[in-house]
Amino acid sequence: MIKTPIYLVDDDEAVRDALSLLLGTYGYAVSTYADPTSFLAASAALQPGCLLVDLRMPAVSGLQLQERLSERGIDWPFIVITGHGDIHACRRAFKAGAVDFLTKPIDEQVLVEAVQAALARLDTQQEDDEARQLLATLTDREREVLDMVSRGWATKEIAETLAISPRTIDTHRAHIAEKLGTSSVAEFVRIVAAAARR
Amino acid sequence: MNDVSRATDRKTLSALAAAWLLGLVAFAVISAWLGIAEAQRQLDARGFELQRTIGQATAQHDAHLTGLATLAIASDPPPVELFTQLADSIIRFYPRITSIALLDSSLATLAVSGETPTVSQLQQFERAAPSLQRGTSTMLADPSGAGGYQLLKRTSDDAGRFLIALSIDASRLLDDPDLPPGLSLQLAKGEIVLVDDRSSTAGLGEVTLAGSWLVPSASQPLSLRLQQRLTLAEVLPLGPLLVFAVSTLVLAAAAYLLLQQRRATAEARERQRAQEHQLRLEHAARVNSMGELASGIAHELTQPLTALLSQSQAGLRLAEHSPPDSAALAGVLEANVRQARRAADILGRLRAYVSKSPTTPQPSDLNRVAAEVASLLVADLRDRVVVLEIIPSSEPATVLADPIELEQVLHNLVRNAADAIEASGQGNRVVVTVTADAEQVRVRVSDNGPGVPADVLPHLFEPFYSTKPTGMGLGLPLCETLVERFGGSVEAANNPEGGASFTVTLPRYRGGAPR
Repeated sequence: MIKTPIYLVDDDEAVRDALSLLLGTYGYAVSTYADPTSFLAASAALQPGCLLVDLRMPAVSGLQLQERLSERGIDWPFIVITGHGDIHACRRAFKAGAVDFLTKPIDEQVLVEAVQAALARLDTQQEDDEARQLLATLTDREREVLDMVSRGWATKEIAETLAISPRTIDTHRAHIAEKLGTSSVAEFVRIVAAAARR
Repeated sequence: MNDVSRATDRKTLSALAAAWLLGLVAFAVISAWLGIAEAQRQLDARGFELQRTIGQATAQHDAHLTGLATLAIASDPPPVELFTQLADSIIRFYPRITSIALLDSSLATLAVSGETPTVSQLQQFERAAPSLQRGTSTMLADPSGAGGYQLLKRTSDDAGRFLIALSIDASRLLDDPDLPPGLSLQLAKGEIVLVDDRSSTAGLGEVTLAGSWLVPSASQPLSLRLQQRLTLAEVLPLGPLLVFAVSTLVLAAAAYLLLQQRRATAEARERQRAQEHQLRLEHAARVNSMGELASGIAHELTQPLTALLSQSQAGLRLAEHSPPDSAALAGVLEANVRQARRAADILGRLRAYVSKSPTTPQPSDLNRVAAEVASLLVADLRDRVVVLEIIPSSEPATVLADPIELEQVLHNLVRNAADAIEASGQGNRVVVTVTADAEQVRVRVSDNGPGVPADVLPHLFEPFYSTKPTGMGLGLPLCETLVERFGGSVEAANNPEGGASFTVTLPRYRGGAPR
């Protein structure tokens, strides 16, 4: 299994070394960047991961980095770390969508939990993306049928509503099951819900 | 001197020069006017004097005539001998009377003193005699005006047998050696000008003054006219003008110098005020810098501490492996050593700041320190609606310490009190009381805020212990460090009536007066 990478952006080398070592002992793959600019330059070629960014850095702040990534269509989950427990910075970070806001020195437990939460969010995001991709393969009529099935409607009801024969509905359902890789109605519901998220 | 003041200087200079010139012209005009008025006054006075003198002379002529006429009829025949004697003495005494003649009714000369009457005079007598009543006299003047005039009197005896003729040299009437140059006279009887001493008309730059008078004599109605020619130099005396010009020039120069000096003084004062203001600002910045320093130190310490914590936690996890990866652990420990040294360096800088900065203990008056802190904080406290009261000690509260550091301590204590009041919304007053006894000087900073919670009290002076959301927890420890360096102590307590008190106690300095 390929490990989901963690991108650590902090201008202090000692902090970078220490945090990547600690996260390394938990089996995470950590890539470090000394400044936001170098990370931005590299970001296009990177696989999705979770960001750990220092709030206060020369030239570009952690929040500005997040904004610029967002402009490039990259909305990976990010954790803000800071040496200042400033309540305004904290509020702004959460408003910008930060998973967590950690003050230095960072406790191991808190750090690991935040990273886990961020990774979980990345997983969800990826699942949602997959669900959307799957649904995109369906025809419009198949999409209509899937929505009704997900709502728990019986084949007969769907046929009446759409004014087509139940037989045709069954054919659509067979195609849907084939395209989504499952015939479970519960799975259908999950996929539709995931695609609708965000 | 800068350009602006140089321009102001030029302006002042030209204004003064203009004022001086104007003053000079005004002085010249006024003194000329006064000079003319004075000359006119003198002319009038002289005219009046001359008129009086001539009046007296004419009265004497009348008296002589009366006397001579009386003598002429005193006996019959008239006492010619006596008459001549009297006439001679009159002529001797009055040189203006050139001749006295006694004539009978046929105008034959009975006696003559002085010049014998001329033919033309006799002809005039002849014309005038028939209408001349006895006892009266008439004045006869040659139409040419030359040779003065004659007085002809008929004796007052019943027949009026005799005539007495008096010739008068009119020019001698005005015989006055004191007549000033430029003065001309004219004496006339009606149209006939008897004396005309008028000189040429006024030349360029000259002024002519004139006046006329009538001699109050019934027998000799003479009119006097005076004319005075004045040159500009006489009207406008150059000496006083020069004196005025020089003295006012000196005055103007003095005024200029005074103005210049005053402006220089004002500029210097302005500069000094700006300088003092700058010093105060620097002073305030220095006193405030303690808080900034604490904030900066805290920020800097965060980085090595973060590294230390995470490295150590990573090290612990590495140590749990069996067998432990000793190379990795050594790396962790090396990193920790580096970070601990880095933290130590930061603290060293803080210590250096505290110990290196103005370590010049000097006799300092805590009353003055308190006043200084009050002036630095007054605006800030006003904004926070906190009243600061300073109660100085009656005795000098002198300690041996650095006044700036004492200010930092007091500044911090007062700020803390105001912060507590503001944060809790309770209380509105901070009182700084300075007291001094033989051994010690105390400064008590007391507030009527919420007081210090019992569980916080023991930790107040621990570094990085703070109850403020933005506090670094360095203020009070730093205060303690500073005060202890001067052999003093800081204590915190809650007041029985509410609020908190911080008391700084320092040994009293017993040397000379504070600097």
